Amino acid sequence: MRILLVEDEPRVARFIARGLREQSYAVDIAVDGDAALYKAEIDDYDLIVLDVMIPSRDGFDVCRELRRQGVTTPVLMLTARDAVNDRVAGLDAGADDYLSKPFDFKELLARLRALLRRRESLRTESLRVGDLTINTTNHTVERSGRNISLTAKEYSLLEFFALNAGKLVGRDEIGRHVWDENFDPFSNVIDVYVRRLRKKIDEGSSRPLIHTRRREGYVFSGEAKGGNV
Amino acid sequence: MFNSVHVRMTLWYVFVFGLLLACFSVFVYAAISRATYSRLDQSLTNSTETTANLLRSEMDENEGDVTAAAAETQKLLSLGDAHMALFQGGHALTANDSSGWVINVPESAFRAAEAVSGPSLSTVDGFDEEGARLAVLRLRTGEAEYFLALAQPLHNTVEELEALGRILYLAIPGALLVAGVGGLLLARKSLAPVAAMTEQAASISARNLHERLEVTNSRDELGRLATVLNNLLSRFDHSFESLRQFTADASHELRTPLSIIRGEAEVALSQKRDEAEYRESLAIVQDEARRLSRMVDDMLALARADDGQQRLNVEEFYVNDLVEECARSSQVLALAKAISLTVDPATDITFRGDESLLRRMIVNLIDNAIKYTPSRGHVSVNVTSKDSGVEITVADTGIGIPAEATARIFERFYRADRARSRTDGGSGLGLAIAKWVAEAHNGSIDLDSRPGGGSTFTVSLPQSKPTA
Repeated sequence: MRILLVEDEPRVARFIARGLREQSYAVDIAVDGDAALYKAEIDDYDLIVLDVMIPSRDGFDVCRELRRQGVTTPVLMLTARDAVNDRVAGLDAGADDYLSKPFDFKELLARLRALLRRRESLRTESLRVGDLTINTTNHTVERSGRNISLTAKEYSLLEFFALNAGKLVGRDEIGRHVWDENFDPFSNVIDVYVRRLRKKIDEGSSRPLIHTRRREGYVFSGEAKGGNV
Repeated sequence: MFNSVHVRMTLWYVFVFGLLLACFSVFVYAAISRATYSRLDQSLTNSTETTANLLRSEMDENEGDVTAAAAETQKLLSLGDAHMALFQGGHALTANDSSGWVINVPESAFRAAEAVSGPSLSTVDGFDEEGARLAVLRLRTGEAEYFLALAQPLHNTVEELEALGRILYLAIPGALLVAGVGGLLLARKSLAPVAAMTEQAASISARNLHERLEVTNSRDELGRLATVLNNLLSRFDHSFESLRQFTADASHELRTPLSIIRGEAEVALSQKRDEAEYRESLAIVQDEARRLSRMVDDMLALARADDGQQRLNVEEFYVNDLVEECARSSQVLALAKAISLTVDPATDITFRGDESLLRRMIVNLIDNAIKYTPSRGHVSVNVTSKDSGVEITVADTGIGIPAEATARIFERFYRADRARSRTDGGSGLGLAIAKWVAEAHNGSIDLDSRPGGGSTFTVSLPQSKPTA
């Protein structure tokens, strides 16, 4: 899951980005309204966390502009202003949720998960592919009753696969949703992570879940031979 | 009911009108009554003289037979309801007329008639309870002396005046009733705009302070009242707006360090980390906590200043020493940014004022100058003695302040450039405090600045007794 964080206060951006990265999200930071719009245009984010009081154009403005451009990415507004009018203005500008500072980081994470669930056709906290179960709240993975321990990045990759189960996903798509803007598309880092993940979840199983399509990408499927793709 | 202006106005109106009407009625009644009586006296006098002439000619005709002459006169004369009698030596010579009524002439009336040449008038009892007006005239024929008496009963006159009185008695309450109703309507009509204004004003609260009262005619009293109220509302609106702005700014400025402290700590504690990471997080928490307490201190100082609670602790000191001391304490900050901070040498200048507040002001100005000056820039502080007092200038080679911001730079939490805000750790109140300190010493603080051309803050402090 890749998140755009729009926040001009470096220390606020620091802890939010750090906390989100540790929760396996890929995070890009924009420090003002124009940068936010630029990044949202060139990249495909799963979620935008938008501070209201930012330089160049404020959060309300950015949100309206995004919606005008047809961007449907969920937006969570984050602000130190908590007057009812501000909340109303934020939601009317096209935001999906509103959280005022200071906040509990746990609450921010829960709200982000709720927004992501709303977007994906994922209504419950667990994802199931074949005999693999992923709990999206506490990030635990289990296959045939065996717990699998994953790093944040591995989990993020697995979750992305699971959300797109049965579909062919290319390396560029994985790069855009699992890695942040520092991802080098010419590196083989995706192949490395896929290999590690495969080792952890498919090793010792007669029915592998990750199927490689040469030069095209991967298919994640519980059905033999990568389903009906 | 008596709390309503229009009712009170009407009551006063009715009272004054009633008083006026009563005085007028009394005057009219008195004038008419006096005129009526004097007309009655006049006609009685005339009748008496006519009767006397007739009686004289009848006496001549009847060759001295007085009784016959009198009877003849009575017959000939048409006196209306008046009665006539002739007396000699206190005895009536004439038979009383058909009504059988006796004119009762008191002795005093004869005496009075003897004293004058014409008829003598007096009021006597008799006829009926209203009494009568009596005219007595002394007649002389040869040696004989007679008294001619004419009596006019007063009941007609009294009745006329009573009718007038009745009319006045009835007319006054009627007129008052009409005046009262009219006055009430008039008062209600003239106060209707006030009622409308009251309703409009009642609907204005803190939520819709931008609304104004309707001014129908700005030149009449009510129009002026509405204009005055509207001006008052404008001032309220403005101060509410500044208060709202201040509250929003203050909450934003306070919430930012708070959310950093909470968020940083929560994220740091969410998993095990090595010591360096904990140290880094704790350093951030400490730094933000310091910023928060500085901000709270500044806000409290300004709140006390607003309350007028902050009293100046006035004493005499060397202001040049104070400036040098402030520059020394800010030197660390300047060195960190490779800014040269210099104080122009000055001779000893004494000044009477609150040294600790002035220190705060100078430090705020120097720190502000360092904050907005890029590396390898220059900040110079100068203190001079003027005729009027002391002048302190803090000049920098910094980024300068746009013209539209110079007027607002001393406002609380105002930031000329929001992009650079907050990261530098200022409370956003430093210049507001500096301005207040200067003004508390009856001084002023001026800013000369161009974007890119540096800024110069000039504090002028008069050498007079400061007031808190």
